[in-house]
Amino acid sequence: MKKSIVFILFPVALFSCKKEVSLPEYNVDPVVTAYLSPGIAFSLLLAHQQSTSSETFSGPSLDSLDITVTSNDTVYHLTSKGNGVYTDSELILRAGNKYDLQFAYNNKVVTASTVIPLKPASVTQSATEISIKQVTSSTTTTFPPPAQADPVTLTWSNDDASYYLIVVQNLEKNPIRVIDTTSTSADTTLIFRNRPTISASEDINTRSFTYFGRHRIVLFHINPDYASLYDNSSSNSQNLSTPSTGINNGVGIFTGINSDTLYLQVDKQ
Amino acid sequence: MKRTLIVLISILCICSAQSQIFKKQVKRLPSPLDKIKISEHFRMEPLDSVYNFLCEHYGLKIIYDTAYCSTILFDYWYIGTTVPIALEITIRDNDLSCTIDSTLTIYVKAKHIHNVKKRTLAFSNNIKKYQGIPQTLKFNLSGHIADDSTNELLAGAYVSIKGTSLGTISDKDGAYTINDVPSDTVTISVSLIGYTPADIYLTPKTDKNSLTIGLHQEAHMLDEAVITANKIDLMKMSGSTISTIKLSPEKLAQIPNVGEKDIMRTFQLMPGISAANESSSGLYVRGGTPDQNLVIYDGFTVYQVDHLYGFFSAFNANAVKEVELFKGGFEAKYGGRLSSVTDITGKEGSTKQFNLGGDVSLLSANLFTEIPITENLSMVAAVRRSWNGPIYNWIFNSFNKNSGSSQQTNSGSGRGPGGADGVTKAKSYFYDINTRLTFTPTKKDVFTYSFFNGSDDLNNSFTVNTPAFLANMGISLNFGTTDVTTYGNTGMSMGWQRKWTSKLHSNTVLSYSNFYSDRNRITNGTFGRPGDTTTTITGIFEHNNLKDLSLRSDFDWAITKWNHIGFGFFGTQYDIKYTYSQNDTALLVNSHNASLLAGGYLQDQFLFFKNKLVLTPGVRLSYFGTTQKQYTEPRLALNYNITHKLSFKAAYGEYYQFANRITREDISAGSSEFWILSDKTTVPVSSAVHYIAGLSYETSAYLFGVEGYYKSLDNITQYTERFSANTSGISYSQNFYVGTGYSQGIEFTAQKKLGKFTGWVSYTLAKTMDHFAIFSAQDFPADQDVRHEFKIVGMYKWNRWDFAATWIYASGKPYTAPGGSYGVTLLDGTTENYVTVTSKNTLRLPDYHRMDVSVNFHFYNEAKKDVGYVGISLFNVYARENVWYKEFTVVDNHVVETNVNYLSFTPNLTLSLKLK
Repeated sequence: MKKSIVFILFPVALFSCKKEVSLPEYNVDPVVTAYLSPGIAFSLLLAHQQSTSSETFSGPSLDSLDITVTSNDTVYHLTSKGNGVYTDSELILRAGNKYDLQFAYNNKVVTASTVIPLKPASVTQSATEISIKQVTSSTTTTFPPPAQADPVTLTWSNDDASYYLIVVQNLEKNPIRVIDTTSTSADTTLIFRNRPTISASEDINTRSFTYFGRHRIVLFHINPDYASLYDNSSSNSQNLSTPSTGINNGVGIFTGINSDTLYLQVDKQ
Repeated sequence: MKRTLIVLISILCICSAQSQIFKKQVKRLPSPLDKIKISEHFRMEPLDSVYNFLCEHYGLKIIYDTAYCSTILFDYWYIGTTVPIALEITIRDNDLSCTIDSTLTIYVKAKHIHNVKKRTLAFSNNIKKYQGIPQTLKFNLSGHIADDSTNELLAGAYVSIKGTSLGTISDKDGAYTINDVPSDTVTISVSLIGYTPADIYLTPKTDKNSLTIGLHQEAHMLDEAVITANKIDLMKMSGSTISTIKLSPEKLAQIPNVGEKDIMRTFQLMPGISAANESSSGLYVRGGTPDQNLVIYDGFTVYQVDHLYGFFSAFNANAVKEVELFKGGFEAKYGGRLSSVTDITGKEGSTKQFNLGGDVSLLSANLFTEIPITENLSMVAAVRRSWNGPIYNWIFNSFNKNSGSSQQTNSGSGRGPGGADGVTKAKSYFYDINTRLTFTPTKKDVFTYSFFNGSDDLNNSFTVNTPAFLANMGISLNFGTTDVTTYGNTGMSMGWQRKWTSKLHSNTVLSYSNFYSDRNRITNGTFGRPGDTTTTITGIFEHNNLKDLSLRSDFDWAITKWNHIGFGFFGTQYDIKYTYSQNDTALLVNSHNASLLAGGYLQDQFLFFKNKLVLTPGVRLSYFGTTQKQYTEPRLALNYNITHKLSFKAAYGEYYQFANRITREDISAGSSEFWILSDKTTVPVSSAVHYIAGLSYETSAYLFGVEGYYKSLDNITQYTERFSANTSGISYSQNFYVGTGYSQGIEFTAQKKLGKFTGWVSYTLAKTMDHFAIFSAQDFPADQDVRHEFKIVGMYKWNRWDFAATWIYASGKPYTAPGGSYGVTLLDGTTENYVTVTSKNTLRLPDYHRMDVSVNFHFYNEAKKDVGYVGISLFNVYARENVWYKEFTVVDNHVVETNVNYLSFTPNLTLSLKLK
């Protein structure tokens, strides 16, 4: 009865209606993708943005533009290789150097600047080998589940609280699954990562490993603009904004990176 | 009979046309009006407003010439003054006279108008039958019939010679002629509906060619609507000060509401104040944000004006006597905010009669009382609390559906995730308490104490207890989400009003205000088995605490009749804390600022050409401890009465703001706001300059006004984490962005003030632009920018019934939408997809419009006094789907747009009763 009264009193509810709308023409700012890593030649990828009504996110490549990179007062004109790739084989990247990108597009000057960070220093890992119990269809399920193995801790020097990122990759050709039951999905990735951090140590949770075998752990020293790519975007009109980018009149990423590589063996318990 | 005699003697004593009685201090018998003592400060108020006020708050019946009285600026501070003395003060030097009839109705007349029109008003109760010999026979008698209080000429009056069949009816100009009058000693009878019949005794000396006869309005027979409209305006938009609106909360019930009669919501029906903000009780005045509007309640600053996500304001209309809103260009007495001032005065309460009343609606219950403790001490107390009625739940659930997906499943269904057994949900509510004591120990002093406490406890928590099958296994499992937002204000003030001399008055207030806001949104779980218990806590904790201890003194010194000086000093000690932490351990923001803001002001009001021109230059000086700088704010106001009806007003002023309210975006858990003090770098002291000019044409029944304004803003601050590269949480200083802005507009108003049907129509054309380099290289429309606003308010009174309807139209607010997409391959080999957005605020939401209607039926007691009503209010009567904001989700690379709408059709029922 009470519900009926409420129903009568409020026949028209506050509700949301969903519809697909024709949004304005998509932004014309170009998409830059460039990770500047020391010891290799300069290379970047350039593309159009895609309309939000398109089937894919990434737009067509953008070729034949006059793009310059300046470093140590030397100006380099990049060569368009097609498919949006621009390179300069003479421009070998160096840690600690600053690189300024500039080109004109759609009557705007697109600029970006980055410094390649130094290689991570004083890197240690708490273990080079760990053991994990495999879970199969015949494994007896206990409740609660057994306590997990200690995490692998990486430490490094980070006096200036700059950003670091850990990426872990299984190197086996035919890796064996940690959880190998009939219900396990087939497309488990061989790579996983932690979120960027400004601390000087980070744990790799043993439950993150989905395969046994040899793993490569890459500790990236990254810039803040790359770290911000992991931020969630807003999705409502009260505070919607373009994702963070260090590129003026453009979007994407133009950032220097440096890294150190470690290895870890994950065995069956 | 005895009472009538006393009254008649009082009339003779008090109201001789020249009111000399007061000057000569002739002994007279006491009048009932002597027992009513007035304690009010009228500062350059139009005299018609003064009379309105006295009628409304002291129960007087005053009939006066509205048009003439509105041209007189009245400045006086009554402290325990009796009504006759108070009246005498209003009429002296103003070419006015007053009379009081047997019903204690007071008639104030403009003396000079009689002279100008050369009317000889004959008063029937002043002249006796002439006993001499007639000197003229068979002559023609002509003249006019007029209202003796307003001198308005009256058509349709029946004029006859007593004892004969001779008679006529006055024409549309009030003129009459009777031919063949038998003699110059006959008695003339005049009657007209709504007026006391009059007998005029002719004498040989009577002017036979121009005999103007004055009629008294019969107060007890007048249509109540006429008197009501004349005495009390719900909204008063005219006055001597530009951009000022006065609101009388007693009349708020006439306006449709959504659960509660609401002061701040009603202001949103006025030109220049944005109406399309259902989710904020704060006022967006002329493009300003709510934190740029200074809200003062009995002298203390109120920092949070919202109840229930902003759908209701924190002020209980039953405890408020009057609210004055300065939309801009405000005087040097006020400062510390960029946009506007809302000055709220609490009720004093009667020193004579106990009163008790209350309201109950589908949202809340409300109780108030007035207690006369002694002859000099009165008390008002009011308390209001929401109850989990249909409207409260309706809005609470609606808001939580909108604010976050995690809350969506929890609030509406009353069950936790998955519909688990043993789910319990907490209750939410708001309440507020108002108390005011008024003590008048001497004729020169008034002491007040005011206390206000209001709080919201918005609790969206739930807990899930151990299911039975696990409990049987000896395992305990408890988890739940604590989602508690508690915020509110506590404020108190102690005031001392002192009348040092008849020309020097002061008002000193010591006040304390505390705003607190605690957000606790955590998920905790406890898992236990014999010998081992694990507890996990994740979530956010947010605490904001603002303390404001202030002392201020305002002085008003009428040096001469044409020169008034206002001056004063003020000091505020701010202490503001804000902490924001995650998971009970990581303290991301820990801000604690304390500073002194102190200074003084001086303004000088010059009145020229018999008060036709009023010029008020002023300056306000402030010293802010944090920046260790002095801030100078020049002000200038001008008011020129071109004619009695037409006036020109203008104002200029510079303003600084030191305390700012910042919105912290949080998409998943809901945004929250916090107050911080300005500092030297991150959040600079913001400033504004106002330029305002306007014309108004006002008669006793109508007001037509137009005002234009331009307001520039500098060093305004926005807070956003959108551009922050810090993924570990909030970096306090990185996320503040400083910009500039401006707001300009023109407002048109037409108001009908008198009659059964009253109301107003307004239109505002406005533009509010911001400039923040982080968002755009160009100026872009501010979030609150509304270009066109049209509002119409109509109220009709018919016997005991009130009918009202309002219709609001506002062009759409700006918003930003997705514009394109791209993918970036990350270092781990995966591709992250991003959506870019259009230029900041280049798109517009659909236009907002809404109609509300209400009907009230009033109850009268035996003395025919209004003691309450029962009313129904229909909000958004045609269920317009007004868009609050839009949400965008990407599904298969298609952007799906979702409109999140404001409240749809919502009815409310209110019962209001009071003893007196």
